[in-house]
Amino acid sequence: MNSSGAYFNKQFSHIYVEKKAMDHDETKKILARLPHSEVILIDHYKDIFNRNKQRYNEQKRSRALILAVNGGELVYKGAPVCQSFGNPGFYYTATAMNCPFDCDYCFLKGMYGTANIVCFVNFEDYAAAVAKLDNPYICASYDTDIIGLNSITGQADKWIDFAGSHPDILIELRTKFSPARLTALPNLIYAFTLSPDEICRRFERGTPPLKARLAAVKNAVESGCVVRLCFDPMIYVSGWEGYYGELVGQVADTVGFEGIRDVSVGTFRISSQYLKTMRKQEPDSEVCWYPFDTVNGYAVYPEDIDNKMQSFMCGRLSGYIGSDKIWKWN
Amino acid sequence: MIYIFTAVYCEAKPLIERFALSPDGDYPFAGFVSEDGNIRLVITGVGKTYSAAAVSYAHAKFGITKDDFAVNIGTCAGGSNTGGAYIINKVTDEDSGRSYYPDMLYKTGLREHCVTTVSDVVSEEKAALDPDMLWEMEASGFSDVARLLMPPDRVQLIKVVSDNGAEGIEAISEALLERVIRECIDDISTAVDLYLSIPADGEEQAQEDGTEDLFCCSETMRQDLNKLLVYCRNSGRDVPGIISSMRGEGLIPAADRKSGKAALNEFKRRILQ
Ligand code: SF4
Repeated sequence: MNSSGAYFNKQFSHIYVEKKAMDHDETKKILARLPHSEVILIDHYKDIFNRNKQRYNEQKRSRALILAVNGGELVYKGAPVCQSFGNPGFYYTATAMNCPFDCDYCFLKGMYGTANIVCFVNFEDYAAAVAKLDNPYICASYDTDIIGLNSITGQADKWIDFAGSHPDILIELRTKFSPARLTALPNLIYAFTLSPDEICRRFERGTPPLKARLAAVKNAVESGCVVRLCFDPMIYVSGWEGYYGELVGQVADTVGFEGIRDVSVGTFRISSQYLKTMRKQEPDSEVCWYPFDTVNGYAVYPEDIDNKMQSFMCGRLSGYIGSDKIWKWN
Repeated sequence: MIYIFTAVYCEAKPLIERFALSPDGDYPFAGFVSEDGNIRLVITGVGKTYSAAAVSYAHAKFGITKDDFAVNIGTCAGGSNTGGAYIINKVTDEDSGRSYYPDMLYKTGLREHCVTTVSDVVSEEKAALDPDMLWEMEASGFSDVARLLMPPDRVQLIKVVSDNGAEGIEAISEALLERVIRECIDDISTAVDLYLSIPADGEEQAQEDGTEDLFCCSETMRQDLNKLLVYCRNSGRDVPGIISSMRGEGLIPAADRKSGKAALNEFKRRILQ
């Protein structure tokens, strides 16, 4: 936070609650975790979330929390730019929208015009919708960092409990945070996104540093959890080979790859539409202003750079982990 | 810069005195301005239609920007649990049932409350139905227009309780409205000072004068070049160094559009090296 932080209210100083969410048990629990926040009743979450002319950079200094009941679609087919890891029934779901962290390159900035966070309190409806699917692989932390938000929303805990009672459903919880609760289940994947220290520092504001993420990975592996490492998105900067090469070495030295289920490798890519919005919100960002190529509506690094980065990373990783366990995004 | 909108002169008077505002011009809504031009006050007239019209007019006349604040300051009726000045976190228009929510990002030090905008002075019966509510006549009109023109963190409302709605309109004198605003003037000016001290959002600005001429740019090329220069600025690339070596090699200035395009590709290649 810069010096202007003195002007701003605290994070979650304001909680907007849909009238129909007010009596929900989850709402009561969340409100009890934030007893000093101002509570404002609203008709629909979109009345706050979708307002015109909101400013991410101002709002991110004092994010509001919106508690709502999602009566719309609850589970989505996985997007083509996301990795399915060979699972045919690839879906994702969003019990929360938006993230407490502030990565320069986050697609959520392009997707939503706001820094405020929505938390849907009707988890039971999500659970029912997921339970109806045939042999699904569910990513539950795509439109947020569900573990990063867990101390407020408790939603990561809910997915962990759900995985425990639905052994046929594979759940992935992706995070840059350190999970407070680690439960070893064969159908629950803790997916940690790892970036070189230089990238964390420059472009992943608010997230734990690499050292803390590596400690969390180690902890998860030692607890017998299924662990995935995501070297995705790789960010192009001068000297990237050095940074990413060192990262692989650090993982090997501190955690090792023996207890890792698989790894993903991907370079930064984003819908061109989202990129336009992000550039407005991030006028000083090196990542967002890279002169990307546009391929099928997605902004991607030029092919030679993209190939070089992914090959380099896969090459380094294959010194430690079988290539059948390395998943590239394209 | 901050634009203050009040309904009537007696509400504006303590603000005019506190901020040393002088009368300004003869536009349809009486206006006042501070010596440094950072505060403008517009007297809108009573009711949401006038309030909406005044915001719209001031926006057009003064070119209010997204970094400016529009603040509706005025009096309201309140239940027995209310009193003093409030920053408003929800405005509901009684006629349409629609609500507007300003962003509550800033530490103004004021207590918060929601407000209902009514078309007529609130009756004793109505006030009794919801004793915790604040009632007034301009907020929804002000918000309806301001929210279309400005970001929600820059549209703010401060309301001061003048009466409990029970005594009827006869009891609401100009002297009363002036007095209640004057009693809260320190709280109000703390909020106004805070708004004035919040820095403006950074604007994208990377075009280096004359660079586009070196590449004989079309409009599309100019836009590409400008984005590339933003990337150079953000990533600390040595643009003058690359330009000077390309000059030295005779690649720029380009003689025509075709060689300009080739030079721009080469410029990009060197930046990404
Ligand atoms: S942690 Fe993930 S979801 Fe959160 S801001 Fe960063 S990229 Fe976005």
